[in-house]
Amino acid sequence: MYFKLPNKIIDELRRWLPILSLTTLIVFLVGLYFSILNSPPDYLQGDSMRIMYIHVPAAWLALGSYSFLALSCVCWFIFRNPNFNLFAKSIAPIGAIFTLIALVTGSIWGKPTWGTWWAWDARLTSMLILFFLYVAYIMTWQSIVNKELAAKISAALGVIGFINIPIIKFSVDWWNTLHQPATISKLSAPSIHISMLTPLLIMTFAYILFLATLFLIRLKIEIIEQKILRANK
Amino acid sequence: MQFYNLIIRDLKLAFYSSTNFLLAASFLILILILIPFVFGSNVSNFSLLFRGFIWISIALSILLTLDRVFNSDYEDGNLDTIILTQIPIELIVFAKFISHWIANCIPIIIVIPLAGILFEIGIQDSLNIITNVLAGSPGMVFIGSAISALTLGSKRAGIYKTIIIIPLYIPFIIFGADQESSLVLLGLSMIAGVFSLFISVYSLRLYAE
Amino acid sequence: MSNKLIINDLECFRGEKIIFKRLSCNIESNQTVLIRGTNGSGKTSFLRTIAGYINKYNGTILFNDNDLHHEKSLLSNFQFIGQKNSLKENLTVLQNIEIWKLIYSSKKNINEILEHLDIGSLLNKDINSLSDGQKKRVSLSRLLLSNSMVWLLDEPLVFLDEDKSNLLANIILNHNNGGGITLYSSNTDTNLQYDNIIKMDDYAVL
Repeated sequence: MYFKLPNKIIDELRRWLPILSLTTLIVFLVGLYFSILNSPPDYLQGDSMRIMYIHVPAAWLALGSYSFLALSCVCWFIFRNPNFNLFAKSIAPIGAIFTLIALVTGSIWGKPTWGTWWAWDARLTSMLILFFLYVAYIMTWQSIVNKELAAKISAALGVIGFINIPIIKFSVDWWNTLHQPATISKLSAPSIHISMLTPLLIMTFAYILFLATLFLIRLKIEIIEQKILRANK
Repeated sequence: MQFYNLIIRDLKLAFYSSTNFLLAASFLILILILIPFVFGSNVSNFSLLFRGFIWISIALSILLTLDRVFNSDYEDGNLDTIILTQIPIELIVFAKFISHWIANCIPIIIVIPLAGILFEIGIQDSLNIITNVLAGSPGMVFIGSAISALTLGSKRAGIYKTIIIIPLYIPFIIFGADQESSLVLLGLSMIAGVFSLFISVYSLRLYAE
Repeated sequence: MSNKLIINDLECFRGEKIIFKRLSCNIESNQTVLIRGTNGSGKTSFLRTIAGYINKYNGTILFNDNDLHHEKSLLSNFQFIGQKNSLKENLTVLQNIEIWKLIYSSKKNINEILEHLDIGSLLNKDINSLSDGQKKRVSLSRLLLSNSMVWLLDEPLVFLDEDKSNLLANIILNHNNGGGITLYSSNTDTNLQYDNIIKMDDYAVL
């Protein structure tokens, strides 16, 4: 159940976290400057397209975090090292928030672009399900009192969820071909110009730094929490 | 012999409390009765909507009765007793799957032609839906049972059990509503069966401790 | 028929914490063992470990010279009656017993069992109309339904008054005379006979 990280990791985290946070802030500012002020508006969508710089990295990292979570769960099953559970547990709420950001900004972007807040296409549906999977994973930890049991159950759920995502994507694609073949094409991303790619990449980098910062903060909290738990026993 | 007895035991249990036995089927009928009230009686083509509604109702009915597969036996202690018999735990789980499917999905299947009459669905269409339900519902029962086994010890399992199960039902509902997909459904059920068996055995072993 | 249950150097865990260690004992046919200990001393864990529910332990448990950790099929010789009474509240006593009979694939005569436990008059009553003591007696009827040799009873005397615990004493006596072994736990003094006592507090790890 308990982590097996070296004890001085908290000190290391305390030293590096402020630096990391500051870097995140700077990269974000640079990214926002490029994406809002120093890049051309889209010739079709105008300025509303700029929300892409917030939306796309969030969506990528939401998926990335879940892959990380699921991978940690699989590793836990193989190596039975409690650290993996700690990683998965730390990243879950962050991933959930990123998914939420992607969903909300996607909706806001969708209204002027396709004239609707929501479309039942494969990508959107799997994002929504992804959010629920995060919620389920977090709830497992909270609703099972015996933490050792919770570790096993939530690891199993994390893996099941990972199988779930391609299933959803595949079946919604199928559903589209069965019922309404036209909607997919209008959502497919057109190729992107270099002047827009630069801010997108900088923003993605900023998001990754942001994710790392939040993850390390969560990790620190989890470690301290477990130390308290252990001390109380 | 013991395997067979275990199935009989679960069926008897369902039968003794007859309200339980008919819960899924009557729930299905009740949802279907609500539909005309939503759309008004002058909607001409119910048969088009019927397929969709019947699958949603089936999914909900199955969800409603999942607690009976493992949860009630776990809470009152019968699961302890069952695990200690000579039957391997894999067979115990399989017996539970089968008996739960018989107790809940057979009544649903019997009710479908009746619902067909209410909504003016032809015999051919009713038969087609029944074939799909026969092929798909085992998979849904298996998945639901496995997830409820996994969440046996959780305080608020009801809420988030559903969050996990519903996405896994999406493929069944999609293919169920399609007329020519009964083979796909059968395949899905088989795959679901294998995975669910594995998950259930894993979780029963955990919770026995 | 004679049976033998040997426990060697048993060490049990709750989470990663050791509850008790170096518990050894030798139990033969026709013996009753009382497991005595305060709350949380590991009585239930001990019984559940023997019954094979808990697989994580150190030491060996031998039944008729076979290690139970590897020979799971031998566990069908064991019967565990826990503190959950395994009753379906909305069914009658008879229905509950019938359902247990199917679990054990038992062909035993119900009337005899009813007599042993003095529950004949309750047969058609709903479980939720019974008192706790009556429920306990119905719950104990599982012992007589199965053919298992080793009985593991977790707090069997709770809710039973002196009269009724004599019923249980007779049942255990009959069982032991047929070559059986009985282990039961209690955290108070009992008037139930025992040949051997295991004091959990002697093995507890603080």
